[in-house]
Amino acid sequence: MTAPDIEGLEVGTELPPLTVRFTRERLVRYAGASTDFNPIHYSDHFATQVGLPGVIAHGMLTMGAALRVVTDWVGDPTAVTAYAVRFTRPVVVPDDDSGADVTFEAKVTAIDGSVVTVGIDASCAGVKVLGAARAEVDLERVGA
Amino acid sequence: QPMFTDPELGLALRRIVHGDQRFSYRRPLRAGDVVAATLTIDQVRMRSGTEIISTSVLITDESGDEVGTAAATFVHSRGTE
Repeated sequence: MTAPDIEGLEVGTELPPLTVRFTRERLVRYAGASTDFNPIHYSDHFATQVGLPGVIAHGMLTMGAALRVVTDWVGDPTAVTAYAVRFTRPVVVPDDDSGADVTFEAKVTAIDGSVVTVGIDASCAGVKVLGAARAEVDLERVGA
Repeated sequence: QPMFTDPELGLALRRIVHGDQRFSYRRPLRAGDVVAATLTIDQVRMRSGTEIISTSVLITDESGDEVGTAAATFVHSRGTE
């Protein structure tokens, strides 16, 4: 496995962006995989009753999808040493063929030895859905 | 998971909104690892009918060494259901 070249990195270096499509089917699959069967993730009736605009994606699904922008870039998911997000806005997933597209963009925000901090922006229909999302990767862990 | 099914706590997953989530990883999990996860409710703040619950989970391996941590904030409303 080849780690990104630390010498070629600087604060502000952009990672290749990623767009992930969230559909109702995907939410159902994630509910089963995670055992999070909160009905806000599959029932419009329940979601609107609790004041949401409709069925929303699991925050952890968005969080996991967002980290792919980092793991695809670094090439080895075990290099991730820390990852944190705030769930600021819900990802509303309509019951249709196209669902909701979430776009993830990331750039290097700090470099400390072999540890690179990456800030991630996640947006759906032009609205930011994650706040203060950042991951730390230790390039020395790549392939270790 | 036990946090949402403990009858004494009276929390319901369906009234929970996930506010934030933080992970740290000391080392990757490997096939065959046996780990224990210990959840601590660090803080509960009340704000106009909702509880803001801060939790942290410590994950340790069989020799007691830390594998990683997971910390989260949940917003729970005491509904009438």
